[in-house]
Amino acid sequence: MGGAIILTTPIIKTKTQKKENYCKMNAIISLCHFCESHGPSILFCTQAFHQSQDAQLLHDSAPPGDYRGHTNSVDPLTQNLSAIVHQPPTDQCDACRSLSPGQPGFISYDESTQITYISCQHPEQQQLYSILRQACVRSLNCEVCPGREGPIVFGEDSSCHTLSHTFNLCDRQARGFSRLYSFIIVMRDRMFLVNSWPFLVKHLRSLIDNLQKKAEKTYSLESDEHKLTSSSRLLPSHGGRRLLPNQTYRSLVDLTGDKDIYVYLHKYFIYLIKTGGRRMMECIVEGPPQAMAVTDSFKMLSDQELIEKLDKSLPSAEFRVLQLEDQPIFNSLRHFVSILGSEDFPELAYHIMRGDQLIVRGNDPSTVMSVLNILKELVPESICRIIGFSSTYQESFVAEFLGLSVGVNLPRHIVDSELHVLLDILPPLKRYYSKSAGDQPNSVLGGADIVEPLEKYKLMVYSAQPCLHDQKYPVIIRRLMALLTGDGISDQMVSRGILALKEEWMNKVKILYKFSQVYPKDSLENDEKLNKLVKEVLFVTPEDMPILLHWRSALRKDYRAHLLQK
Amino acid sequence: MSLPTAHAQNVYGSSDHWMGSKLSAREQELRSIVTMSLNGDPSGSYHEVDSFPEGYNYGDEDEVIGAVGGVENKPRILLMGLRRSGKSSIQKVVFHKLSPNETLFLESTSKVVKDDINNSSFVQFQVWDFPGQIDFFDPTFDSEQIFGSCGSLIFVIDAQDDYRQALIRLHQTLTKAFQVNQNIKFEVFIHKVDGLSDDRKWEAQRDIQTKATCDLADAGLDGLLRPSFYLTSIYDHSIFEAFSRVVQKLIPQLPTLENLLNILVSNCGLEKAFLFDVVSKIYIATDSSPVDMLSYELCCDMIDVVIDVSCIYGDDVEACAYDQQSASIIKLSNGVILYLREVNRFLALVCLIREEVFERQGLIEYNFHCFRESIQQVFEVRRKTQGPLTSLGSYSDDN
Repeated sequence: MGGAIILTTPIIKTKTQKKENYCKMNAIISLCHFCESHGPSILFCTQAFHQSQDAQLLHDSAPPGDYRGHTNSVDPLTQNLSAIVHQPPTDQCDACRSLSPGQPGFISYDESTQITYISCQHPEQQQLYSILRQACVRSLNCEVCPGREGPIVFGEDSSCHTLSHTFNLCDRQARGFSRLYSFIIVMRDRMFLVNSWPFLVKHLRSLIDNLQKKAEKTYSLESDEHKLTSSSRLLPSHGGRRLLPNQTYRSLVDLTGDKDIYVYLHKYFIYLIKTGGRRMMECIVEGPPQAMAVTDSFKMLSDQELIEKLDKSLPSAEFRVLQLEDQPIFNSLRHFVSILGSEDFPELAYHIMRGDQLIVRGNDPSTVMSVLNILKELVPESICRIIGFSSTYQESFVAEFLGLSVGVNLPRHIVDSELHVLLDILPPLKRYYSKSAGDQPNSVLGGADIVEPLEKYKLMVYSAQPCLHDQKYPVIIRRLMALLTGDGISDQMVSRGILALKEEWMNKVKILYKFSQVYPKDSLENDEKLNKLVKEVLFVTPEDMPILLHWRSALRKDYRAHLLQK
Repeated sequence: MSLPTAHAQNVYGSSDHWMGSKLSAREQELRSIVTMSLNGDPSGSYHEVDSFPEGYNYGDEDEVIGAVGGVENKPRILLMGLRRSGKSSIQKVVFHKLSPNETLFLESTSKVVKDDINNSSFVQFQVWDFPGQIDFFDPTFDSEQIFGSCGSLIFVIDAQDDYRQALIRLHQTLTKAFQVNQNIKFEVFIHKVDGLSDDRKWEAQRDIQTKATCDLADAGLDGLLRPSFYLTSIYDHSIFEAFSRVVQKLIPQLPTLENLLNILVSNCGLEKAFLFDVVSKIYIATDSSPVDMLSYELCCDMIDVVIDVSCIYGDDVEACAYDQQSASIIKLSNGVILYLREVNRFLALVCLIREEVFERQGLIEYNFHCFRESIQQVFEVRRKTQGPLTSLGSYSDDN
């Protein structure tokens, strides 16, 4: 049923709106009055019709008549509208009527957004009318606002939420010289309503102030007149006295002395609906943008893929023989460290973390791959490109992690450069294991290719110049070593710990990045600030700086923009 | 009329337990509570209307002896009727001492005004003042909530107006409220009779009474639902008298109190005796002889005189105008004596006595003493049954 057109359409419409993610404020704003004779009534209400999806609905729900006419028209009073105006109850007096009989209402069309705003006394849809009517009664007669005048929000999720602002206008002819009115804003979306509270209340207040000023002016004029005409009487002309049977209370127009008061209200309500929607930007919140890119330069390859890849890259038939399932592989970082030895590892880790090229040489691809896979845990994923096993040297800008087969020589400039670290996986001497081959007859496989446990392998780390001196390890390395050499820590705990450690350092990277944007490194003063930051905020040593600087490249471009925005 | 001999010894700074500096902190707290509840009131302008002497309140709720209706079962009195029939005026005049002339300037009530007559009067109940414009039997309102625990429903009819409309509404209200709660006591105030001649008053009452009962008979409720009719006006004491009757129906100890009064009257040879709630001037019990409006008015005025004299001539500004020493004898020129004695903090016994009977004043004093003891016993029972929840102070011990 199309009764509550406005209210049933969801307020959030991000997908249909192209660039402007402004919310639509699907609300009805209404002026209500507590009439002394007839009780609470709706005086005037304004609602928005969104042409795109509502025009049809409006057409369907409304009684027969051409409605496309009014949505295209800017003319305030078209004849078409009169058909949809709710027939007012018969027992209405001037006080509970806004528009004179026969005057259908006001209509405004916003070309830029294709929204039609219609103001009339009652909403024409029955369902909407009853919702509004109930909100009106609650606002005026049930809900108590401390201090009598003031805003309150009430409502249920099952129906609608209402922001109500009651106020009094002075009237010489009314009981107690005061008449009770209220503005109500009815919405389905509670969050939207509550979030709009400051905006709405501010504007309702100024609207009310305006009305009250006008009413006071009329009041004081009448008081003066009254003093002139009947100076002897202490009592007011009507205040408190019974009205004559045919006399009714005055309308808002008479009260404020402004015959265009409803035009003014119409405009103001439109402003509230339109601006109320525009002041809320909507964006899909899925957390902040991802800090680090997920690169596809390296994907975890399954064993099958690995073999296929290797098939292509390795033409020699000898290597096939080596692709036997039982080649020794490193299965965890702890495992690797236990074979490498905890003295050499910090040096290696530091090189890796600060972005030097890691070259692993070995004669078995899966062993080499397992080393690379384990060591890549130490750096953010996005800044670690891996070439698993290659027969020629690749430059560091192609791959930070490079696996090579044994006899590949490194170019001279690489050997001399301290921006690389070389790890050689040396198998045990042949003599040694041919001797033991006799003890293991079952494992004989083409003589030379007996699987040896990794413990018998030797790992050699070589770098042009050792970069860690005198145990002055960076903080991250110390933390890493504590994790790896600690007792009773399982492999899973180690990898979790490393993950957390990386996150922690990435956060430091973000701070550093933002800092460096705010204070570019161009003056001594800023350098001092940076040192202070490093020491007192990030809690790292200067040795950590190369790592932090390198990891900065792991931040995605859009994330950097996001950081700077904030 | 001879000069009144009002005793006001109490005000001489005898810092007894319920007034003065000792209680000021607690009192402050209590007052702030009262103010808060008034602020929450939509048309709560009556806390500004303070024609009551400062300090003349009942103080601690804890000390209310034998207050009728505790927190647990506070009776509710609903004021209903057409718009402008005078509901708010009644409520303000009776319970907030608003001058009747000032009721002209009352705004129309837009919300149900719940007035807690809790710690401002001996009789504890709530008065709910309804806006006349709204039909509270509409399904959007929870009629169970409104009428479920209601004690009395007062329907106010403006006798100066054409009351046909009011009679229709009266019938609707009675039948529908009866459907929700069959224990409601229905009262009809034929109000604003001050503007009518005596003949028209009685005529109006007879007319309204017959029509209302006829309507009920048509609905088949005549046996079950018997509303009482009162002629009331805020410009004289009739509204207090009528409200007294309404409140009396809500006091469970009423037969006992009436019995005690009857015994007192017969043994002392009194003309008439009222047990008054001093603040509201509602009498919560009287002896079985018919109430003469004139004597009731006299008694009301006497309370005013005593309070006023105490207020003006009591030298302690902070002290209350009414305490356990309050007593007064006023001799009227027609040979009748008005005699007022304090019974407890909220109650006063006011009697009319013939001059010749009053010669035996000692006997009367003694009998009164017995009567007062008995009254305290009555409320002692209630205090015990109420248990520790509302620990009522033992005022009598201090005597």
